[in-house]
Amino acid sequence: MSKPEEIIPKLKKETMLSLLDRGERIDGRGLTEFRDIKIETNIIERAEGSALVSIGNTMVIAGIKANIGTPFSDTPDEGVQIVHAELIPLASPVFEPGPPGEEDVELSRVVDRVIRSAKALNLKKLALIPGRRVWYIYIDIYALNHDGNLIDASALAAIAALMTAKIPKVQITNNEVKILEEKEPLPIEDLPVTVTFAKVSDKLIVDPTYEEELVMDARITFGINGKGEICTIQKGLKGTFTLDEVLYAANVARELASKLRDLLIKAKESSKE
Amino acid sequence: MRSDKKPVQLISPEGLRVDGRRPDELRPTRIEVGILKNADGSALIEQGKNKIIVAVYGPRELHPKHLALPDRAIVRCRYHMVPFSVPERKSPAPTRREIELSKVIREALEPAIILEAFPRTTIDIFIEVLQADGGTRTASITAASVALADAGIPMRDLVTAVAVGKVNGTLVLDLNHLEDQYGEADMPVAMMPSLGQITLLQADGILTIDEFKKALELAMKGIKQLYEIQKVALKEKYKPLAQELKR
Amino acid sequence: MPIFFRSGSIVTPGDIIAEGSYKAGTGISRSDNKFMALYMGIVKIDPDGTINVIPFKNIYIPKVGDIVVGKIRDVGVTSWLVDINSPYPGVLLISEALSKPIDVTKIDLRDYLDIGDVIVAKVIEFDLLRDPMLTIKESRLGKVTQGLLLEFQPSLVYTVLEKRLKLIELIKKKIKCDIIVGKNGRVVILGAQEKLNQLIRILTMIFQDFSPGSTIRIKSYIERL
Repeated sequence: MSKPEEIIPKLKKETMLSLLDRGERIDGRGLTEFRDIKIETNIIERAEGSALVSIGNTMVIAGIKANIGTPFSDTPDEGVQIVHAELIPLASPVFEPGPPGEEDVELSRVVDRVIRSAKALNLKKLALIPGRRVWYIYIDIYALNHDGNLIDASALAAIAALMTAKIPKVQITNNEVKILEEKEPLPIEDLPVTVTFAKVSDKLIVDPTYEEELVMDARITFGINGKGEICTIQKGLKGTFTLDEVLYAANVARELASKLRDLLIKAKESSKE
Repeated sequence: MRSDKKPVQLISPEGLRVDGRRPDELRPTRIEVGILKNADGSALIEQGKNKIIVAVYGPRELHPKHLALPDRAIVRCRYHMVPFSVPERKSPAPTRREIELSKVIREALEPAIILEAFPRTTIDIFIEVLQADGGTRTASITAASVALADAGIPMRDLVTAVAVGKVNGTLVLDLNHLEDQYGEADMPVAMMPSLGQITLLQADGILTIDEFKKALELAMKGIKQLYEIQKVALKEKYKPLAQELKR
Repeated sequence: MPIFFRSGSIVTPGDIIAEGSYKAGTGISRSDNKFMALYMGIVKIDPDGTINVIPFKNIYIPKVGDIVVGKIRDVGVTSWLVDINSPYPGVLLISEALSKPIDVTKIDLRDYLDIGDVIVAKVIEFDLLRDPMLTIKESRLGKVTQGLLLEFQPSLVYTVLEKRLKLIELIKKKIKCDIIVGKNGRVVILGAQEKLNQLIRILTMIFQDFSPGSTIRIKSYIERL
C-alpha cells in the first residue's frame, strides 16, 4: 500500500525540468536509457524458481511455487497462473503495512497480463488430467527497494524466475497423479519484457527513478513479446498522451525490449553453470 | 509439494545430525549490512538455508500522533514470510504465528534500544523471511539488531539469538526445520551478551530442569559465536572508512 | 585502568571501551566503572580522559543555532511545517518569517511559502517535548528561489571528517557558485549551471564516499573543474 507521496522540493523539480529541456537527466542518462540491470536467478533454492532483479537502486524479488489442484471450471484443460505482487514497507518510507492497495493490485494484474497475453507460460501443457488435476503456478513478487519503475523490475523478475524454474515430473497412472523426484523446466514459450515511460512536461523518459516519478504527469508501459509484438499496454496516472507520443513510445519499447531480452538470456546461461 | 518427510534418523549412531553437524555446532552464518538503500539501516542474514532480510526505518515521525509517547520512542515490528519461503506456498496474509512472532521479536529488541533518546517518534522494524529453514525468529532478531546498529540507533548492546532443542534425547544447538518439526523440544533464546541479560525465552516440548540448565549453557555458547559474527559484519562495512579517516 | 579500544578504533554497541576512573562523553553508557559504546562508530578519548564514541550514522537532532536547509511540507493558518530531515519537523511561525506584522485573515500563507519551497533557516528553540522552532528572518536566511537541492545522510562529515567541508570552500573558489551546507545533511547549490552534473558527483562523493583514496580522488576532480 502506498500513502501520499513525499514532496519533491520545487528546486529539484525545476532543475530536473531544465535539464530535460537539454535532453539530460539528473543521473546523466539519456531519455531512452535504462539504468544498470542485474538479474540473479535460483537464489531461493527451496522455491521452484526465483529471481532477484535490480534496475539501478530498485530491487525486486520474485518466487515461483507449484502445486497440484483442480482446474477452474471454465478452463478445465489448462493449468492455473496466479500472480501476486506486494509493495511492502521494507522497500520505502512511502509504503504502509496492510492489505494490498490499488497499486499492489494494478502491478499484479499488469505482470499477469504480460505473461498471459504472450503465452509465456503454456497453460495447456500444465494440465495433468484435464478436468481434474492441473498445475497451479504461483508467481509472488516483492519489492525490496523502491527507486522507481517497479513495473519493469517486477515483470523482469517474474519472467527470469519462470524461465529458470523447475517443477517435479509426474507420472499419471489409473487417473492418479504421482509426483516423481526428477525435475523439469516449466513450459516457457516466450520471454516478454516491459518498457515503462514517464511523461514529464511533454518529454517521454524511459525507466523513471523515484524522483522522476514524483514529477511525472502520466506513465505508460508496453509489454513486448519475442516477435516484437505488443502484448500489453497500461497507461497510468491522470495525465494524457497524444497519438504521436504513444506511437513513439511503442517503437522505442520494441527496440529496448530486444536488449532486455538479451539480458534475460545471458542470465539463463549463467544460471546453468 | 508436501512438507519435508521425517528423516529416518535425526541423530546418527556417530552422534551427527541430519545435516552432518555435531550437537553443539551452529549452521554456517553470514550477515551482510546495509543491503537496502532506502532503509535507515538494513541487514541480510543467511543461516543454513534461512535467508532473512531486515529493514529499519527511524526514528521517524509517527502518524497518527496520538500513538506517540511523550518521553520515549515506540518500536513497531512486522515479521512476515513471503509465500515462496516454505515448501507449501503460504498465503501472503499475516497468520497468527506471524503476529505472535512480531510481538516477541519486538520485545526481544526493545530492551536494548535507548528509547528515551527519541521521544514522540517510532522505530519501525520490517522483517521478511525469503527462505525458511527453522529458527527464523532467532535469526531475525540477530539480523534486526545489526540493522538497528546500522541505522545509528543508540543501543545498550547488540541482541543475539539462537534456538536450542532436544532431538532423540540429545540437546542440540541451532535447530533446522526438520529438527524443529520432529524433535522433542524447541527453546529460542535471545540475549544482550555483554550485559548478560536475556530478552527472549520461549519453549515448547518437554525439558527436565537439568536439561533446561544444560540447554541454556548450550545457547550461551552459540550466542557467543553469533555475537562475534554480528560484530565482524558491522565492522567490515566500515573498515574502509576507518582507513580513510586515518589519513 | 585498562583501555580496551584506543582512539580511532571502530566499536559496536555493547563494546566495553574502558574500565576505571574515566569520564563519560557522548555516545557512551556507563555502568559502575565500565564505559560501553552506544553506537557503531569511532572511539575518541580526550586528553582529560573523557571517552566518546562518534557514530558513523548521525541521526539529525536539531540544536539551537544550527543552520538547516528545509522543505516546506505543510501550510497552516499561522505557521508552516518544515521537513528538516530529522525525526522532528520544524515549525516556522509567521512572526519568524515576515518582518512586517500582517493580518492573517486577509492573506494566504501560500503566497509567501508554498509546499515544496526550500528555505535556509536557523533553529531558535528546541526541547524534545515539542517540535523545533525555526526562523528565516536573519541575513543569509530565507527562501531559496533558484538552485539545486541535494540530500545526504547527516554523516561523519560534520564530526570526524570536518576537513572534508573545507573541500567545499575549494570548489567555491574554483567555479563561481554558492554552496550552502545545512547541518541536517542537505546542500543547496546556487549558480554553476554548466558544471552541474560534475558538482553533483563531487558533492555526493564528499558526503557519501569514504572508500580508500576517496579524499584524493575528490581533490583531483575539484582541480579538473
